[in-house]
Amino acid sequence: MPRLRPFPIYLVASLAILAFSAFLAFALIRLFQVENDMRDNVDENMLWVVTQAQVASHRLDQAVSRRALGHRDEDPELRLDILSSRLTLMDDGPQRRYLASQGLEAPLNAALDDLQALLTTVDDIKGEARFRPDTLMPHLDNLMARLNRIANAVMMAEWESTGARLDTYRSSLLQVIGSVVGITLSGLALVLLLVHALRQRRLAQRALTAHRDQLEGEVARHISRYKETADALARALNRERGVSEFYRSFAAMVSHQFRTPLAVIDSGLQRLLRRNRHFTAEQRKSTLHRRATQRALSAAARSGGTDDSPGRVVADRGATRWPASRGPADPPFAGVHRRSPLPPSGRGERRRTVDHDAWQP
Amino acid sequence: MLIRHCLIVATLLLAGPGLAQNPAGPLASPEGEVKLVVSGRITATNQGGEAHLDLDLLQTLPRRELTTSTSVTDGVNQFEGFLVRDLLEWLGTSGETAVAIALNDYIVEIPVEDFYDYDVILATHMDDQRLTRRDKGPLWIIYPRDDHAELQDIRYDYRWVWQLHRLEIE
Repeated sequence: MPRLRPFPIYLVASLAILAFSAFLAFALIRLFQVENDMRDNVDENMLWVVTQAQVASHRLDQAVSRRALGHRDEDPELRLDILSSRLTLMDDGPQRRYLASQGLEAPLNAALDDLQALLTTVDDIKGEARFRPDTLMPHLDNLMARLNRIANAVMMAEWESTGARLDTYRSSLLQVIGSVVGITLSGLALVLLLVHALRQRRLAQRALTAHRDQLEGEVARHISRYKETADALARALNRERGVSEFYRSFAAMVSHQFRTPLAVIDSGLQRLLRRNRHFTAEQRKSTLHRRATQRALSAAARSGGTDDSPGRVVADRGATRWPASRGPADPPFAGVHRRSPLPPSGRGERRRTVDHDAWQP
Repeated sequence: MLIRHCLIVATLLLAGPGLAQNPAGPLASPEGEVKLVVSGRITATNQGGEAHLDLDLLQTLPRRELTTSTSVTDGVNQFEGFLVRDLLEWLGTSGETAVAIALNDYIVEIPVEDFYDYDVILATHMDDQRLTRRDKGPLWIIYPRDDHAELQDIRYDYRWVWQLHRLEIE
């Protein structure tokens, strides 16, 4: 059975965002429409406008009647002007359009005709007869009847309009509530996706950290061999430096230890060569042999006087002698074992003494 | 010194029309038909503690034009008249509320601060035509509705009193 592919997470997120935006836009549009509709209050004013016109017509009727009865303080002309003002207001643009939309344009025009008849009657007559009831009442009665009809129609229209508006508001609010629920669900989905993404990110971060640690271990393991080699090289270098230093020290020491006796020998030989002609061959041989022996003994005494090696020469109480392991019959040193005239510490002075004796015949 | 100058300038600005026409003293008596009666907490009067004003007296106030739409007419209309606050300053009023009464006995209370917060005028002309009693005259309270969004509210519409006849300052 083929396995279904998992729903891509980015597609889910896109759908959630799309739904969130759509619900939000729809809710905003609905609220905007409601707000605009609430500003349109012309119909609410219309009932007041018409009723005020009704009141004005009734007060004109009252003033005309009272004036006819002799009430001099009544001012029917003012009442007529006020009635004219109210009907003029009903004839203005917004009010006329509203009445026309309710099918009341004909009664409005008829009411305006009645008003014009009233004004013509009053304006054409001079004096006290301007407001005679018998000339005004027919027009005024018609006007009051039309205004009453208009008022009734406007009242019913406003109630219908108010009911319809409330229905619209209710419907809009329900739609907005539904949109809010949709927004909430979409937002919840987005939150879940966000939490999921964060968890995935945390897991990825953790895996990345572990991988990095592993890589660091691998690198450390690989470089440890090179490090050990480097340490060994450093140790070998140090050892080599030590050997080299030891060699230099040894060479300096050997140079110092051998150069001095050789210089003495060389000096003696030079003097022997210069005095060669005063000796016979036998004397030369004997003297040379004795001097060489003395020089060798002196050199040996200076360089290794405390040595216990088989070839050492011991200076004891001013005498130079061979150790026991070395026999006195050793030909190079035969006959030269004698007491030194100098103490051991005065080697330079003894050498002078020896040198002096060496050249005595 | 600077504060003193500022106080003098502020006093002149606030009481400009009044100072120019002697607000504390008695007003001249109206010679024509009285169009507006102002009563209550005022200092300038001309008849029985009230200010009875005809068009000639009212036209001594600085003229002001205002272009705005209304809730009961189409389009934008041009109004001409005078600032209500100029009238109040001229008459030396000190109240917080102005009770506006129309010819048909319509009554509404208007906070005096409206006249100082906005350039509210008492219009005598609309679109270069004098307002008559058979229309919305002779005086119509006009707010600068198009200049301030907050004035485009039904709670301000009922303050647009036409056929204004009386102001009582409380």
